[in-house]
Amino acid sequence: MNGPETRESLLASLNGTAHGGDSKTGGSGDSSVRRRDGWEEFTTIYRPLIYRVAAAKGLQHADAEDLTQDVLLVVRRSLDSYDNTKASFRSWLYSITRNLVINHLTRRRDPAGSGDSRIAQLISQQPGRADTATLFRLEYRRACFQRAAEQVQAEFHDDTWQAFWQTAVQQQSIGSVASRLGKSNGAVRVARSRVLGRLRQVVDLQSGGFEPD
Amino acid sequence: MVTSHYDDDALTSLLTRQSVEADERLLQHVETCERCQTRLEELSCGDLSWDEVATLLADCEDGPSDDTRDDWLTSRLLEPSEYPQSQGRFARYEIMEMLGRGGMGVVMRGYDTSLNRHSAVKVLVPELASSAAARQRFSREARSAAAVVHPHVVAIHTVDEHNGLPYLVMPVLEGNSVEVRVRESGPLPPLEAVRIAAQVAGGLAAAHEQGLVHRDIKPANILLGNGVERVQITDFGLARAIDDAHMTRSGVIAGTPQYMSPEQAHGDAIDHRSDLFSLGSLMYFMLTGRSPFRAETTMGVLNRIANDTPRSLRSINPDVPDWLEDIVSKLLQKRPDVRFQTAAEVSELLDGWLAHLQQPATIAPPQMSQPTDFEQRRNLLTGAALGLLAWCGWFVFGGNSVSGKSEDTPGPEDGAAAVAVVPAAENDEDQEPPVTGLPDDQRIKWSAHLGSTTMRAPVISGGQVYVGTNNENAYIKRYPKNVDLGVLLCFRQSDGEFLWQHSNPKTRTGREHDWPMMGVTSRPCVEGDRLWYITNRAEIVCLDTAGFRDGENDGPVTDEPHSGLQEADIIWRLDMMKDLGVRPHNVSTCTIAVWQDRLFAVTGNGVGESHAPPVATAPSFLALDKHSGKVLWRDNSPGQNVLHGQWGSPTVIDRGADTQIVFPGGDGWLYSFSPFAAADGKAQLLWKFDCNHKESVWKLGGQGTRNNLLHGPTLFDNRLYIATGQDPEHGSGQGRVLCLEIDGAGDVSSHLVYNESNPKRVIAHRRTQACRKEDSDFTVANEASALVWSFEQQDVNNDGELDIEERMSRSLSTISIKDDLLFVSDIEGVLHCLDRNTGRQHWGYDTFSGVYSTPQIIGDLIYLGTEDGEILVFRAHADRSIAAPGGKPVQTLTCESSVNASVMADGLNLFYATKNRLIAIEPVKQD
Repeated sequence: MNGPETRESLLASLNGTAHGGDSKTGGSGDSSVRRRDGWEEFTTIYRPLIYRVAAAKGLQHADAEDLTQDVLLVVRRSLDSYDNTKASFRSWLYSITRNLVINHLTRRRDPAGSGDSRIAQLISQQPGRADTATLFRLEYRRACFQRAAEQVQAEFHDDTWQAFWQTAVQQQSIGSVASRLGKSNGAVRVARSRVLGRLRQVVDLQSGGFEPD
Repeated sequence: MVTSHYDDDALTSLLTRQSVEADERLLQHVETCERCQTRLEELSCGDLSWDEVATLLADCEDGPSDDTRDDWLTSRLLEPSEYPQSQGRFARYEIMEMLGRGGMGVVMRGYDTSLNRHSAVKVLVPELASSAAARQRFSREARSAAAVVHPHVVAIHTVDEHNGLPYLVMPVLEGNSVEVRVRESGPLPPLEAVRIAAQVAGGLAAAHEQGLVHRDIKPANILLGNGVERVQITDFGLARAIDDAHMTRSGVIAGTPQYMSPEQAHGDAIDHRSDLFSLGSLMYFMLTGRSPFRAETTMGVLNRIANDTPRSLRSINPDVPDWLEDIVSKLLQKRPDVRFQTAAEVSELLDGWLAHLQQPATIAPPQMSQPTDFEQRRNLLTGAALGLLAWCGWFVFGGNSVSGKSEDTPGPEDGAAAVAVVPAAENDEDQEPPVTGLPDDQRIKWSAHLGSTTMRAPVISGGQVYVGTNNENAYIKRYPKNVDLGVLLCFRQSDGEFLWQHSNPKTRTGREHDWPMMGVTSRPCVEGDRLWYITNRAEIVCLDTAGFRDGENDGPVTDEPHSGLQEADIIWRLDMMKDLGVRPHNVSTCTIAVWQDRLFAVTGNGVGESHAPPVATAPSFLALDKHSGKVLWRDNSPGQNVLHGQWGSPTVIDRGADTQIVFPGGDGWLYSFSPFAAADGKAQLLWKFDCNHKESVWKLGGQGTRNNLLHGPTLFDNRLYIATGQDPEHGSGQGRVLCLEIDGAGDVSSHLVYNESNPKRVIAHRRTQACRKEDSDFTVANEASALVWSFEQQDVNNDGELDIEERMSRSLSTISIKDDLLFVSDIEGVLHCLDRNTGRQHWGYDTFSGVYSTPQIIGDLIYLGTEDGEILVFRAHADRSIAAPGGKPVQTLTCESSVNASVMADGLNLFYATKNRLIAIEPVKQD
């Protein structure tokens, strides 16, 4: 369901957003919905991701939000330069976004800047490129997992999900979770394995075979 | 039974099928078979470990919401109750609502039916209460805390257990925590921070006297009474009780460690002096809006607490006085024995300062013993060494590797000014022509290097061209390019020869006022042989356009240290920071306006770096004598309502005796003044107009809908035109173009704001939101409104949606008008063409680039520079197919760098300023 054609259509729909819709060719209600969805799908993954990387690099909330916005804008504007003969859209999107984030965090911004604390921090922090790339990769994986978790949670009974969440994420002991949920230890172990198995499956499906390097 | 265990395929089916489809028999077996469970877990994990799973999903904002978890918790905590509106019963309390939930406890609002009283009931969460030791510790700590009775410590009424769950009962407090206050309204003024810190120190002193250490002083634990000046510390001792319980179980430190002391971070024994360190961090947070030791991971924070000296308070917030910085840094000493030794001592000291600040004339400031240099240096060294240790895992003696932080290096000859030395950039001379794509009938006449950031259009006057930039090209030998300066360059118009420059070292106060490499961004105003502009040092200077080339040193300023031919001859200078108390938020982009013998300027007074409110007493608008720089009148109408900075320029409406000077205020209002002061010397306001919707909201970082005015209004045919926008770093958002009449008086905004409490009286303007519907404010259309029209968006092509070209985003553009056509650009890169009379859009053109420049009308063409380094040329026409035939500009010129400055013309030649080059274009002579 998330094959290459979906990615192409995501690209097409993003392009629609980027160009703000050409009044001559586009303009039907249907395509505007697709455009919006495409952009939303893109921002669901990358918006929180970029924000987190920026925040992890020491930017304050508003500054991290700004940076996120900046990067997304540039990505949106760069969609024309995507060449589908060279790389998959997903990996292209990943690299361009990652590189932009690194650039934004590293380079000195000079246009009509204000003396806001953001830039002072950017300069004083000087994050290493490799460092940011690793962080970006981790946050990408997190974004994928968290998006998958949202989907998967709805597929399981609440108890099954809680067994997973409380043991795996909140890292509570199997025994205490089992007794609170009124289940056997074995049932908790099976439940958390099943959720994790499904989670990884969804992540794989959604990534369409793309693994960030 | 064929096999006693299932194979991988069967187990995998359990992992890939959803719950409804699971095979019951398979499930039953695996749930009771440890071997199968282990294999199932291996299969489910693949190359992941459970720890990695936790990392990938922890703090999952999209995970189970608080609400779900609250429901889940309350369902386990509460017993059913018939009481009206009660969610359930806990002990003798009817629980009305969940007030808060930490990792370890929940706080609920409970109604005590027997005492007829609302209380906060804090319960240790069930998973922790399962340990008897944890329960005992919680109860013991809570009882000691209950013994502290002090006005600045939240009282604990009851400590008890119910159904095996320990809980305590406190009064319900109205008001916010320090954390919320600072998050919502930014850093506190030093006086307010000292007042709060003094009370916290007082509360700590009382608790310490009882032998109780708080262990978790942080902004969220300091409560500010609603409207009452009382500060209360909450959660005494509980943090530790809970952390102990949690750590015993999981080995994980709960919550944020940002306010921990080094000894806590290290896991050493602690005493009351640990709270003093946390008090230092709390004060740092109040004064700057951030905790001193931030890092991306818990380990990172702990490392920083142990090793780092935080950035100096004054470098973040220049309002912090020296003595306050000294107090905070003494509290933040790594070693407890060099901090203050008791909370009582701190409380006394802060009270002393508070008294002095309130009555400086009668009460002397208290004395404080300084930590010695030796102590400070030793701490620094230890920090550095530990830092190395943390990095390498080795203990390395750094030899002479511990060097002082590079201080501002004094300028080559300018002792008084700090000159920041920046790394020399590579010399990137390239052979490419600076602009390509010129039409056949034009060619490059000359080009001259500028610095590396040129933002404003060149000024052409009297055979010379003036441009503000930075010193990256180092025209003058004594200032090599690695000396960061704001520079005003003067070239000869005919051949581009460099004539002279005015050099301005960076301000000592740094980034907030004068951004590195930013150069000069005020576009000069020239009249005859005089030039006026605002330097990066917030000085208004008057220069002789001939420089020293006329063989004269014109004055009153005649003590220029350099009077060579390439230097600027200063006539007079007004230092707005020193002489008028102005605190600009970043360098000025104001173009001074001149009328008769007077100059008019927007001072740039703005918010502090951490967005502390602007200096209320400093002027926003000035009228000066153009010959002497003497201040004729000053006005601070925007006052503390300034949203960010004040970067606009005044506009003169020259009508003889009825002349008006219209100033864009940092509060988003236009203010029109008489050029003359009243008899009492005060400025005479004629009218004012709010360019924002009354319901719009200002939020930090560009999130809101309330905008600034970044340019001066354009006067055309007795009407004013202006676009709203924000600092480009704030990104995009809704903008607005307005057209106003100029003959009004008083408040001529389109609407006035009233409150239902007094529907007859217009309420005063408020900075972040003028009309708060939720507070029963309402707007009424103003009969005196000067608004002719405003444009925000319009579905021009009638396709039922608003395309990017059909929306007015925030703008950095002045309005350009030709006949009935109005042109304006926005930061999204759209050039808009509107009907000047109605505000209806004829067309929009998306350049697919950021646009910082103003569309310039030259002849029948519109020139627009983009951040991508293009100059796009359109025909000035209402029909888009004529303006941009085939959807393309009639010319697209490509430059080597961004074009943020508007294109200028002298009647024959065109002048393009890219970020780093000034280019003159001439027509090719026809044979």
